[in-house]
Amino acid sequence: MAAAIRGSVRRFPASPGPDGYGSEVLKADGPPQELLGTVFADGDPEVLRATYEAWGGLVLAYCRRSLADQHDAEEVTQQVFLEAWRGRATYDSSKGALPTWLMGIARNRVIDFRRQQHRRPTPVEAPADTSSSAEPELERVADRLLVADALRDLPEQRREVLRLAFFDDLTHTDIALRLELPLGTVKSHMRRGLASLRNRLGEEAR
Amino acid sequence: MSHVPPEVLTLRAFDEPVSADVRAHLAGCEVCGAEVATLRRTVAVARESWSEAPPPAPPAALWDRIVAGLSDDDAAALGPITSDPGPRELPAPDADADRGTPSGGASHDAAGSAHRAEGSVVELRPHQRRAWWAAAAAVAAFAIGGVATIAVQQPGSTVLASTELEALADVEPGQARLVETPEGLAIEVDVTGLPEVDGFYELWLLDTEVTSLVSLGPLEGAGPHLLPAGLDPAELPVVDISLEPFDGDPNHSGDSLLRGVLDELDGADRA
Repeated sequence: MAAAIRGSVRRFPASPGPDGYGSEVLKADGPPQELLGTVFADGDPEVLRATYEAWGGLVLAYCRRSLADQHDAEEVTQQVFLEAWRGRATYDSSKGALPTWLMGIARNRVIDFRRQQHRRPTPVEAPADTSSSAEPELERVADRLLVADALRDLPEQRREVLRLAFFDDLTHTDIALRLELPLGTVKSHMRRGLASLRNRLGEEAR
Repeated sequence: MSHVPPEVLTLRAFDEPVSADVRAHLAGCEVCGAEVATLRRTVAVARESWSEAPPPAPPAALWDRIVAGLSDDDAAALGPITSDPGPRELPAPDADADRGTPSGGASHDAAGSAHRAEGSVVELRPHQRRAWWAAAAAVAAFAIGGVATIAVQQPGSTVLASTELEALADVEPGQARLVETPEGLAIEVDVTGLPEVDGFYELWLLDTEVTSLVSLGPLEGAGPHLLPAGLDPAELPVVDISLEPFDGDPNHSGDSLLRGVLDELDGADRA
């Protein structure tokens, strides 16, 4: 039986390449990344791995922008995930999205890291301490990255509705005509799409 | 008047005209006013965020360092250290050209970059080795009403994983999804244009080595085709549709027409 199937593999070599996975389908149906938050506190290390794979790049990008040094950024990212894991019992998925929580930890670690840097003996022309003045900027970078991540997670049609509303200044009526969708569908996409993005924003912005 | 409905608050955040009643309420109501202000901030951040490139995949070496910082028990539970699958290429810049996206100036560029962003996110999509999602799915079964971003295929069914079904013969490609239904795990299939044949189409789950398999029965439209209770789809992540002759032989004919590997279930093998 198995041999017969192997035969068919030989006849039709079938290893789906990178393009074999339709992005629209994957994105629309989506793997259950959103579910990670609901089990994060349970303590399965595989959940930490999946969390790193889902948002490690996001945290690292944030640290990289905030610290300007790849090595430092990786060190802080490591701290963030270890701290998140140790503190997993304090994460409450009903209070906020997991990536937003991670970015909150990252922000604190970045600030600590900068302060430590400034305590070290530094060359005469060391830059002034920017840690406090840069905090609003840290917030802004985090929000941008988080919302960009949420935008990529939106179903295609919902994102298209938002794009027309954001950039083409179309009203919901215009959008319904343009996309040939019922008005109620467009309004629902706008409300739910914006709610998904808002859900990722840090607490201060909410 | 009572509080403004959420959809109207959203329209207001996009500066669409609203009735005089609504305007008067918003002017006097702290709750609704604050809501609109937050939504406006969200709109502002989202406009800035649209052109953000997706971050590169997180380095495997950094994950190894994180594992090194875990307790021995946690590290042991993760098994051997992974190898880096390496960066994958972004889709071609014009990958969105045929999606019917209304075009126009700068906003089109913004949309283009977002599409590219999406493509790369999909290709860098993480793969986990064990089925943590089974626990998550149990949570989702009752949390579903509150988590807006979970894809819901049908009332009461949650998509856990999906795949493109590649055509191994002269048929149209399709899609398959692993879904959680009230009756249990099931596979849903979207295939069109399968030719009429002297025989029938049968749905299977295989392991990635193609050494063991389970039949989910004759292909009956989209399904859902229920999995036998207790079957772990992580063990058999390959969805396969075969053409079976009416020969009374319950074994796989070896004539596979469509096949795909459910994402999120097969990372160890494809990495």
